[in-house]
Amino acid sequence: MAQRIKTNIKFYKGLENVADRLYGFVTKTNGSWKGCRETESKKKIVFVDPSIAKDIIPNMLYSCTLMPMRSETGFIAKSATILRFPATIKTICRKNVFVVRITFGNKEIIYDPSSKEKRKNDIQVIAQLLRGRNDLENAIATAEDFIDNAFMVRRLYEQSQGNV
Amino acid sequence: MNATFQIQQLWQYLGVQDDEILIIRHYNQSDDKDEFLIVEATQNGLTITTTDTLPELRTDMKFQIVQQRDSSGKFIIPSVTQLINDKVSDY
Repeated sequence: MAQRIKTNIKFYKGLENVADRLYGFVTKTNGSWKGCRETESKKKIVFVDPSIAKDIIPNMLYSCTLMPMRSETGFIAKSATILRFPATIKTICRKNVFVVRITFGNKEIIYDPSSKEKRKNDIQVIAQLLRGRNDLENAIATAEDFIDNAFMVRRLYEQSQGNV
Repeated sequence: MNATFQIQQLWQYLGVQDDEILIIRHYNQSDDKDEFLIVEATQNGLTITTTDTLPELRTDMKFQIVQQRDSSGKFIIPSVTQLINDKVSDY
């Protein structure tokens, strides 16, 4: 029986000639297969089994079970469970710096009341973004925690501007 | 892992300056309540005190507040190892 492999992978769409199929890549590191970017030189392709493909969201990290293809040119993902990361909310107030940073996985969302950009200075826009994330554990509670911190930072920022 | 060691690691990872205060929101399981760990640099190293409420914060204070919930929704001291592993695994 072919050996099953457990690893974490992101999938994408739009591969040449098979545009409708979800695919990802793995590379062997220290004896075990790990998900990798397309730019990795020594890699093998992973296609998603059509029976689970409808539930896969592109560019999200999944914990997968892989089976080698008969041709041994790659793998088929037979199961995939989305990975949700806990958010760390960091509120930083020091001279001229008033920000809230929300990090999860390798992503970071920043609230900065001094920014001119709506995606950085609008508390409700950021909260709504957090609530809708599929890769965030406790997304609703994280959004509420963010709002509490962001209002505090905005108050301190506005006070600091009034004191100048 | 020892909480003090975990806080020391977090202090370094976050790059907290010696003139800043680090505040960590944390669920106290034995007392079944949330509390705040106040961490400050002193000549004898980091000192950690605990309060039930967030201290009054003013615009002239330098501080960082950090909070993270576990899968059950309780506030925990973030693990630096986990933060790094999450960052690396989410390629």
